[in-house]
Amino acid sequence: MLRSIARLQRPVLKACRVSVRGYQVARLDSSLKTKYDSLTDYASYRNNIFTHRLPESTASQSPPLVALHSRLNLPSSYTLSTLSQALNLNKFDDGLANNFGLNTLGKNLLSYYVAEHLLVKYPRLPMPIHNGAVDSLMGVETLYEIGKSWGIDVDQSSKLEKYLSQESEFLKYGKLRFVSEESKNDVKEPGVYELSEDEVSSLKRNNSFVAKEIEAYASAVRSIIGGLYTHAGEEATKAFIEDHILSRKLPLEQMFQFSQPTRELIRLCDKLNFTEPVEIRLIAETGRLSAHPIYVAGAFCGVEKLGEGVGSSLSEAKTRSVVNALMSYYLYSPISADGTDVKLPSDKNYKFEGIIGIGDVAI
Amino acid sequence: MSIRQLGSPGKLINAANSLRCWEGSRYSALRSIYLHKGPRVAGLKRDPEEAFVTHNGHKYGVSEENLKPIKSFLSDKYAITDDLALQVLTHKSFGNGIKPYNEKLGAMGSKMLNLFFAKFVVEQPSTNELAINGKNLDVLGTPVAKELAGRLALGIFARSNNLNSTMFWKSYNHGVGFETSGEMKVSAQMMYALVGAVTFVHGKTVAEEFIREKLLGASPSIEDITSSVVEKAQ
Amino acid sequence: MLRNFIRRSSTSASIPFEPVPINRYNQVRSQFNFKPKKTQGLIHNPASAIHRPSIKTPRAFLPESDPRRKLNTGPVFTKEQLQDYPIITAYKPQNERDYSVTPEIARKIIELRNEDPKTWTVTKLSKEFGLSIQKVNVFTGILDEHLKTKEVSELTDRQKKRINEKKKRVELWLRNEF
Repeated sequence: MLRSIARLQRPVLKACRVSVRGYQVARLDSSLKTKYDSLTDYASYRNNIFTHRLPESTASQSPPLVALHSRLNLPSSYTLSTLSQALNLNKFDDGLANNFGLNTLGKNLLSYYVAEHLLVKYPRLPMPIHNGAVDSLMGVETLYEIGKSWGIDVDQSSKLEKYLSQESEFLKYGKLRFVSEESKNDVKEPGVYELSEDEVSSLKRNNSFVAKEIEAYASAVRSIIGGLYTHAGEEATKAFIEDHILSRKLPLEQMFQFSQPTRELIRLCDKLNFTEPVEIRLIAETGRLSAHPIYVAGAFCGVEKLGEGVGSSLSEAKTRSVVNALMSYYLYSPISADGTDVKLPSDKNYKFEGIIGIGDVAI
Repeated sequence: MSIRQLGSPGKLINAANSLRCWEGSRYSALRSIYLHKGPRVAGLKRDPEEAFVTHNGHKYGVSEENLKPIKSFLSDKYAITDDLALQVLTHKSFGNGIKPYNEKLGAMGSKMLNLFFAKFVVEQPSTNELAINGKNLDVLGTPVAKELAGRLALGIFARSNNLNSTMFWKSYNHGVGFETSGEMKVSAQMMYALVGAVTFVHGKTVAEEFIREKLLGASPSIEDITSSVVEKAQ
Repeated sequence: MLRNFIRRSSTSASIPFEPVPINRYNQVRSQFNFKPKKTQGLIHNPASAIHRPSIKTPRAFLPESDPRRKLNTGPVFTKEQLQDYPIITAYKPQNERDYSVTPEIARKIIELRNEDPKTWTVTKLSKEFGLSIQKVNVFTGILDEHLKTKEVSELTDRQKKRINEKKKRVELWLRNEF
């Protein structure tokens, strides 16, 4: 999947009309009925469709909420009402504040720490791979998986069903609330998923389908991170992001797909101002006249070996050696003078030791 | 299985010569270099004297003239090296991306600015009863909160502080306006890169001080520019 | 089997290179289970597989500031050793490339090609002007044209299948996968 976006297509020059779309300044979402005194009086903003937040006494009576709080090992300063708000996506339910702000805050925090991690640890990643890596760390699908693994449930039963099964009214405050009351009553067929109008329009707009449920889980995970910032500060949030997001395995080596590796390597050596010729040499071979020959080729620049590859033909060995060389350039990760990982800009006593990517080459 | 080891001497094979295919090997040793000037012809190397000069005549390279605007803006407190400053000023479009350019710096800076302004707008004490732990999150997602770290405001900020007078970039048409030629976008990218460079060199805490002192403290400040931009749009 | 033989060349003069422990018997086929006699002291016994690109960066790609640059300062290969490895392809560095073509020649090539492409084939043009075929291709833009108009309908099913399979294999090379 990632690969399809991972490498640049061969640039094709076309004489096309240049259409420049002007910059779109963000508009106010009128459905939130936001009121404010003046534009830059940030404290005065208020979304008037919401009337209240969940009282702490109500939230503390919800078993799934308390369970989630302790499962995530959140600090005691993190109130249950905030956690409940992070799970609420409904805009027009009962005037209860939803997670819109928490989500935005969480998204900014996540974006920064994920970007910082990647930019420092892998400074030379080509931008498409960098973006793919960001997406695989904090994309909606990933956050959905994380939300699922945290044991968050969806509140899907209607008021009637809740009444008939004598379900406690507090239960729903610990569940993910994004299904509107009307659609809860819809008849559901197992295995059949009916697209809502939003989903159909997003399918037409960008040709990708993200189910509402996936988006809702992702939003809840981001909001929980945002909530952590409001209650426990940035240090705790950073630690939380490192534990839950950045600790995940990132298969960077599998994200590359080159189109013209040799051309790219030569261009790269130009960019790095290498003055020696780039040579692909044959290092070893066996069975040249047999049905299964094997060749080992090396990509050299002067006397420095850049990469090595085996193949059953000379061209395969050559291509593999060049791909190997390119990947060893792009996947470079710096270390500090004492051999440990380099520090991130947000760490204490930060000292710049790594490098800053100089950008990939155009081929 | 017989294995031919090419590394050991004495076992040299004559494949060496048959495999050699130097590009343009039929050429005589005489070299005459022609570097092309004027409009582009596919396949000809352009004269670096002409290729690495901006549309308004600035020559690429570390020079006092090129770096003065951003060096004086940064002051000694947030100083960065000359090479890095030149990278901040270089956009991907310049010289077909063969010089170090500011894409990665911009990626860091834009995330840094977005996070800083998200924290900045919620930090004021509020009386809103929907505020969480004293932080009014209702302001997030409103136009002003979004545009503080937006391209338009930063582009205008770079122009009003004369930071974008020397930038190494190439437009499809330098003659058209600030927004249409892409100058606004490239200037904003340069501002992101500047913040990114300070973050890389001095760390996050210093970068936050930098934004507070130089972006919010300037006149007109980024806040003033943003509110006028947002007012105009509504 | 092959793996044992890939790295035969010594990388350091000071440390003895010993890819396989020295032993009287064929360690693969011998039925005798003698323990190999180990060489005392430090020996250089590198992994016999190709480096994974994410694990080790070649020295040429290490930035000046990297502490790993100071670890092995000598060249990995000498010029003499490289002589034993035949060149498959070589590309000249920036400062040695041939830039003798003037716009007049380029224009002439394009003109001739457009006039009568049947007579002025790329090979003929390259001979006429003493340029490599690749260069003539760049001037005439033949490559793009050729790629776009390539007819596949004339091929038999078997040929098409072979081409497709080859394509898939090449994709694997380009992803560093096996």
